Order: sequence, then structure tokens, then C-alpha cells
Amino acid sequence: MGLQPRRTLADGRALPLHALPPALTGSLLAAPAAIFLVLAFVVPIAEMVGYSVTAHVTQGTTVGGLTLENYARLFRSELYWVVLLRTLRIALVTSLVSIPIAYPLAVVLARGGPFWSRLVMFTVISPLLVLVVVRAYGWKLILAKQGFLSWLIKGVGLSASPPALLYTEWAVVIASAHVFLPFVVLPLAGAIGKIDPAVEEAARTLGAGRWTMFRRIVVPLSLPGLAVGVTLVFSLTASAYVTPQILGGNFAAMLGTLVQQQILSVNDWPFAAALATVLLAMTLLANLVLLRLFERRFGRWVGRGGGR
Amino acid sequence: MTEVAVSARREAVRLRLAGLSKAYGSSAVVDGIDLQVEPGQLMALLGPSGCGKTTTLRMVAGLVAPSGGDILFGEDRVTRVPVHHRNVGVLFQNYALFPHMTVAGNVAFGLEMRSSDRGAIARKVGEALDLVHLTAFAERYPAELSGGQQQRVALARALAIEPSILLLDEPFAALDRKLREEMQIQIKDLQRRVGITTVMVTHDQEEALTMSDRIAVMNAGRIEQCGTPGDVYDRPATVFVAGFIGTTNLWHGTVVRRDGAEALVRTSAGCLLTVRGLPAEAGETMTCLRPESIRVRPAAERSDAAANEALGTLDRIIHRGSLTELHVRLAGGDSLIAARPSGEGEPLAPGQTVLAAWSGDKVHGLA
Ligand SMILES: Nc1ncnc2c1ncn2[C@@H]1O[C@H](COP(=O)(O)OP(=O)(O)O)[C@@H](O)[C@H]1O
Ligand SMILES: [Mg+2]
Repeated sequence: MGLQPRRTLADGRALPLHALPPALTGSLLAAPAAIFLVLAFVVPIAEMVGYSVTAHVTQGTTVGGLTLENYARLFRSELYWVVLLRTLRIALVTSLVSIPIAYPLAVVLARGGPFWSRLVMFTVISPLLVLVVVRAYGWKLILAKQGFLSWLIKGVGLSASPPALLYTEWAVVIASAHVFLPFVVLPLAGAIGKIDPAVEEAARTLGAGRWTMFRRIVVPLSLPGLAVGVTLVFSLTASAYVTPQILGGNFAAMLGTLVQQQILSVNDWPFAAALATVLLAMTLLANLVLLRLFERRFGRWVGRGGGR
Repeated sequence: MTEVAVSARREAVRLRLAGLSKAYGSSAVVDGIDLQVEPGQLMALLGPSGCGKTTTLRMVAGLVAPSGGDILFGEDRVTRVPVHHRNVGVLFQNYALFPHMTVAGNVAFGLEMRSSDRGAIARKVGEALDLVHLTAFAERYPAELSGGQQQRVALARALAIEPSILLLDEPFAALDRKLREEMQIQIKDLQRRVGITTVMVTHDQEEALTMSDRIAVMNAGRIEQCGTPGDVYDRPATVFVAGFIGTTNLWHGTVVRRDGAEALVRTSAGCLLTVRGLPAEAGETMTCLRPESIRVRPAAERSDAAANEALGTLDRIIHRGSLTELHVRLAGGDSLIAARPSGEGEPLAPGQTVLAAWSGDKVHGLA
């Protein structure tokens, strides 16, 4: 990689883009997005993290000065721990639940005919077209104690008094899996679409039935796409606010709700900043671990480094 | 059945296609093919791109359902047997190796579908890798191998399951020329050693001629001729076959005299040829004459051409490696291509008047 020949013009004229070394061209193309991200994301995040360690609130007044008090408070109180663990749990379960739902859809999207793939595409994307509040209230109608789901369960005769799902973690999981489904299905379909159909046929001629072929060929080869999808769903669910607020209520409050309460009700911005920082660190860590894990598994399949 | 040779491998089976057809919508891609491949032989399906070779092969593999006809492996009718129960070895054009499995894992895959005896699988993987000389690469991933090595892995994987039939679809198209020639010999050698009934699809006539026991020349979904490489080269059955395989001089002519088995034919340009074995009732014929059967020598401007000779002007000299082609414009307006080993024969120059001559038994007449 480091042996790119230098391309310079002796008379100092501007280099045409295609004459630049690929690495430099890449950075030029990425520059606008990078600058925007620094200004709109990295700077505010840095400010937030800074805020969480430079002030804390005691008895209603903000005290300045370098401090870890906000974090200490977070770890002292059981309430915050419970919410933190619940947030992780809901994000994890939502990610896991979305996998078996996403696979068949992704297979149809990638390998089905034009009619079916378009139908699936529309079905998967449709929750994103509906306002988040409307969607959450829709699920509320379905999941409520006297809602559609319990009516259905009673009607079919599965149970005389079905458990109420609304205001439980499951309500949040179901609704989150619904909205964030496209974020798994699309990268997964991309990965499945990239599998050479001849590879699947080879497995079939070697004696694999459809299910074995799926399990031993399609699943492992689509794991990179799945990794991207799952980390997206995990991050989006962990940092969601509206859906948990409406469907989880105070019984299944998540970290986002806690941050909102600290800012709007208690007016404790430094503590809210600490909570948000912990949330950020958590999702970041989960993403890194997952992606790292996948990278280690896949490193050799695709050939080492960029040397070929 | 007296003594049966002790062999771990299955007996080779005869492959038979009977009236095999495939239509997409209203267009027949494969149009009622009858074909028989003898046990242990290598049959090439040769034809121009789009003539239905791959479709035929995929029907034999079970990857495409035929619209009509039958496929038989030995005595077994397998037309409706699903692909994963058909026990065929397929070598795909781009090898289609499993990128997430090691070489050994690739070869073991088919065996794992058939048995759960780990010891036996490991032993058979070892044997298959031995067969293609890749034992040292067992733990590599496909991305870490060269094209030729990948192809050998694919071959080992296909053969490890001891398939009834081996199918190759344009197996050498992705390799450069030198490696291609090497692999052609290696695979032919291996096929003969294993003794497996094989069908190979190719559009490359040279490949078909070097590798096959028999060649089926296909055109527009039908088989034009099926025979040994010698048959299709020296005695093409149709104008298409004559034109598709090798370079040939094709002339239309009328029979002017019969002399027992021999007929004297005059081409429209006035050239006279003797043709053997023409059906008695044939009044017209297409004559084919291979370039390498024609000798060219300098001639005087006004000499006469007898039967099996033609007078003309040397138009072009083209060097094609070991052979040199001589393009001759004949007096009557036809043209002729002759070939001779490079560096041999009398020196010639373009523009020169030449006499082309051939022996009468080299002329093949198509009724
Ligand atoms: N799935 C398909 N649907 C429609 N037409 C097809 C399909 N597969 C192949 N064909 C057509 O059948 C013809 C023969 O294809 P193929 O067997 O691949 O030819 P070859 O291998 O001899 O080049 C081509 O004209 C191709 O367009
Ligand atoms: Mg083909």
C-alpha cells in the first residue's frame, strides 16, 4: 500500500482528480462528509462529555469544577443500574428477535423475482414512512389489555385472559423490531445478493437440501451484512426515546427517558450528560466488540490485507 | 461377470439423453436432444455461444427442469430426481468454491451430506486432495489460492463424492492460455484415471478436439453431429459442422460424372474435384477440403488445371505459429485457404501465380 508512485506535475498545475493517487482521491471525496460530522457530531459529543465531568448539581444548585460525582451517583443508585441493564437487554433482545424475521425477507429481497422483492421492499420500508408517534400509538392499540392482540388470542381460544403486553419490555421490543427491521433486512439482503448463485448451486449438487444449503452457505456468507444490521438495530433501539416512552411507560423506562427527565423535570444537565455519555459508550463498545468478532472470523475468507 | 476388479470407486455408468428439451416461454432452447455417453468416456458438447449447451448440462445436473424427454444414468431414470439426490459432480465455470471454508472443508462438504463418519470423511478428503496434488494446501482458504489451484480444489470436491457423472461447464474459460493447456491435460488425465463418465461444455473446438473421446456439435438447440474428434473434423455431417470446426474450404458444386464410388464435381467457379462416397442420387454437393490437405506451388501464368487442382493468385500469407496460411484467389472467383508447416515448402510471394493441388481422397462431400 505504501508504494504508491507519486504523481506530481513539474509545473505545479492542478492535478486532475483521476491523476491523484487513489488514497488521496478517497480522502478528498470523503472530506465534506467528514467536516460535517466533526461539526455536527464530534464537537457536540465532546462538549457533552466535557459537561458531564466539569459540573454537578447538589441541592438544586450547579457546582462547577472537575468532578466524577455524576458517574459516581449513577453507579450508587440502583434505579439507574436497573434502567441501564434494561436498556441493554431490550436492545439485545430486539436485535436477536429481528434476525429470524429478517432472514426470509432478505432472501426474497435478494433472490426473489421483481414482484416479490418489490413487495418485500415496500413492506419492510413502510414503517419508516409513518410518523414515529403514530406508529407507536398504533402498536398501543394492538398491544393494550383490551387491544387487538388480546382480542385475537381470546377469539382463537389460546387463552382466556391473555397477559397485557403494553407497558412491558416486550411491547418496546416488538415495536422497535418493527421499525428497525429495514436496518437489518437491507444490509442482509445486500450480503445475500453478493453470494455467487453458483456457490449455492454447488452446495446443492454436492447433496445439500435447501435448508442445509441455507444454514451452511447463505448464513455464514451473509454474516458480515448481519453484523452491520444487528449493530444498527442495537444502537437505534438503545438510544430510542419515543417508542419506549409511549409503549414502555414508566414500567419499562429506558435510558433515553431518564435523560429526558433529568433535563426537563430535574434540570440536572451535568447528570443527564453523564447518562448520555454512558449510553454512548455502551453502544459504541457493543458495536466494536461485535464488528471485531466478525472481522476476526472473516479476515481470511476474503484474502488477507489489500495485497491481491 | 467373472472377476470384478476390486475398486473403491463406483462402476462408470452410461449417460443417456432421450428427446431432452427445454423451452423458455415459446422458444425452444434445447430441442429434443438424443445423446449417449459410454461409461468412462468424455463427451464434449461443442457449439457457438447461446446454442443451449449450458442448459443441457444443467438439466443433466438437475439444476434446470426439462420441459420434455428423459435423462438416464445407467438404467436409472433420473429426470425427476432432485439435484441434491442426483449424485453428480459439477465443475462450475468460476469454480464456485465455498469462500468461508478451507480447501479441506470444501472437499469434505459433499461427504458430510452423505455420512457422519468423521474418520472416513477425513480419509476421503485426503485421497481427493492427493488426486489433485493439493495435500499441502488443505488448510488454506480459496482466496489464498491461484486460479489453477482453485480449479483443482473444485475438481477434488466434485470427485470426492464419487459422482455417477462428472459435468464440466467451460472449465478453462477463466484461465490464461498456458495454464489452460496444462489444466486440459491434467483434467483429461485424471478423468481417464478415475474412469468417470464425463460431459464437458465448451465453445472452443481445439479444447473439444484435444480432450474428448466423442464430440457432440450443437447448433440452435439440436445436435448436428456426434462422433469422434476424427469424425467431426474429417467427415463433418453438415455444413454447419464443417464451418464451425477448424478452417475449411467449402464449395458448392454439381456432379458432372460418376465413376463407381467416385464422383467428379464441378464447382460454380469451374474447379473440378473428385469426391468419394457420395450417395448415388445426389446431383449437387457441398465439398469441404481442409487447408492442410492442399499443397501450393508456383505455376506458370498460362498453365492448365486438372481435376483436384486449381490455378490462382496468391493473395496473402499469414503466419499462425506452427502453420502458415496461404490465401489464394482462384481464377473462377472463388477463394481458397491452404496451410503448410511454417518454414517449409517453396518460397512464395503475394501476387504470384500458383497452382493449388490436393489428393482426391481428401475431399469430403456433403449431400
Ligand atoms: N433462465 C432462462 N430464461 C430464458 N432464457 C434462457 C434462460 N437460460 C438460458 N436462456 C437462453 O437459452 C439460450 C441458450 O443458453 P445456454 O444454454 O446458456 O447457451 P450456451 O451455454 O450454449 O451458450 C440462450 O439464448 C439464453 O438466452
Ligand atoms: Mg454456456
